Amino acid sequence: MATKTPVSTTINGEPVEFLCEPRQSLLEVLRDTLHLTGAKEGCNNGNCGACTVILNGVAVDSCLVLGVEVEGAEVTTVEGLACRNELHPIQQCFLEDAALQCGICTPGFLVAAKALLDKIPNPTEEQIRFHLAGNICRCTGYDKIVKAVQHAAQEMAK
Amino acid sequence: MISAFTYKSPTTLKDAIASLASEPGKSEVLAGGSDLLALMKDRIATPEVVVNIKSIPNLSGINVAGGKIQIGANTTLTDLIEHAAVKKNLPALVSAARDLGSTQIRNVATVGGNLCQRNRDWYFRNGLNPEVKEELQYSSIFPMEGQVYVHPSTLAPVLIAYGASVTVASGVDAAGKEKTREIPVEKLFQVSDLKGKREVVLAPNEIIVSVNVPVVDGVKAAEIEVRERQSHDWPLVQAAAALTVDASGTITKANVVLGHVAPVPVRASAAEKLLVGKKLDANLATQAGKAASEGAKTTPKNEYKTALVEVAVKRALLGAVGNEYWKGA
Ligand SMILES: Cc1cc2nc3c(=O)[nH]c(=O)nc-3n(C[C@H](O)[C@H](O)[C@H](O)COP(=O)(O)OP(=O)(O)OC[C@H]3O[C@@H](n4cnc5c(N)ncnc54)[C@H](O)[C@@H]3O)c2cc1C
Ligand code: FES
Ligand code: FES
Repeated sequence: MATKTPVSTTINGEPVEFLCEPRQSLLEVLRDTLHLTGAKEGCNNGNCGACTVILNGVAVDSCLVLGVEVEGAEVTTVEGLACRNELHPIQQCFLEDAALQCGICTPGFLVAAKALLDKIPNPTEEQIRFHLAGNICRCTGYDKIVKAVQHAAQEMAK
Repeated sequence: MISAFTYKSPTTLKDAIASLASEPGKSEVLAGGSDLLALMKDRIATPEVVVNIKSIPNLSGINVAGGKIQIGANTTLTDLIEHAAVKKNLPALVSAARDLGSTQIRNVATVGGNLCQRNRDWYFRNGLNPEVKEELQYSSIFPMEGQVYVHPSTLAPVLIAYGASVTVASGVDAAGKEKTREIPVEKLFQVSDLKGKREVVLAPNEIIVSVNVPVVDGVKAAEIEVRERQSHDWPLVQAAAALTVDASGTITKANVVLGHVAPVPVRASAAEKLLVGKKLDANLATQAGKAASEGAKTTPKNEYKTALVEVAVKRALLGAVGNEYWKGA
């Protein structure tokens, strides 16, 4: 067993400390050590976006970040979107607009959409498609996802 | 799982250089990690030491001074494409960086890492497995030293067209200060043997510090990528053109560089020669495209790339002077 490194970070607004081996990805740490299983492992190499989290304000693939790299950082996972029993408007709109089928891609899309709307609150359809191009969905055909994000942008502007 | 390694996160360039081994394969620089971690997961890279260079101040950020734009090696592609001076002066670089990967990748991928990324050849990425050697539809049409992989960086051809160089930190002098050397981006690449000899001429303990792009009045540039998919994938063919045009419209200098057709980014010298001293029109651009594909050594699987080179060069040239005819009136 290789030696573990202590890491202090902030996840979903809460201070968190964990021990990890340098070779563990942030995705592995989130899922296996911290039991935050919202981020999914699809490809494990930056191709699918199912593992998307927000790291210091920007969307990243957590499979391509080492756990030790988040020392002192701020991480938001899909678990941090809902507020107690209330879904985040993006989550609510995905439900209402049927923007998911099997659901494996959904956490990644929700987090990528949150990062997008944090940066561009009123994106055009082209901007949505451009910024969500790192997330792959094999079920919906994307149109409903794009519409749900547009809908969420309207809800959040209210 | 990735094989175990010692992790270092130095805060000075000097310490980073000291942490790197001088033999190939023993240590790796970690910038955005978007290539390195994938290589390590597949055990193509198995370093004993990984040196994260992101805690070193001054390696990221963009400075505009003295007729050049200096881009810190750790600058992410997202920061690059959103920078006002880069957007204004280096539109072809913005185009290449914007079309690359995805938002998640651009948010971590750095300019230095982009230039040092390993090739994407399936044979190489499969641990030199002879069974995958046959997948040649993406391979080089200008093979070199027996290698048929293509260089993966889409920033490199554009940087070469703009006449950029890299500043490299290579060791520490007697007074404890980092020694640096300057390499034109054009001279940064070599043909890898897919083993110890990498795609870049850097020693294993050298670190790119910055990429320096001259900003020259009157230079007009564009780049064209032909892609199967709009995101995620590497282009099939890329052409970058930077033209210096005098008041009469005559081309006084032409840089035409091709990507994804050879193990290194290649200059289309025959096309450049043809262009200098003439005024650009559709006919000349078509001829230049034909000249750029001259000498290609194709196979039935990749011969389509010569046609793509011809069109990409034509469009890059006309696009540089603002004629994006292919987008329709
Ligand atoms: C889905 C996908 C699509 C992609 N499409 C494209 C594309 O179309 N065009 C394209 O060009 N790229 C593409 N890429 C590759 C991407 O651009 C690279 O992975 C990225 O630029 C590498 O930068 P990084 O900072 O993440 O490097 P890292 O992964 O951190 O490092 C890559 C290599 O460079 C070395 N290195 C890094 N920084 C330095 C430095 N400053 N000095 C010396 N050595 C250094 C590392 O040791 C390592 O060997 C794609 C990647 C993915 C995952
Ligand atoms: S699991 Fe990370 S991008 Fe696919
Ligand atoms: S809902 Fe099944 S992959 Fe997107």
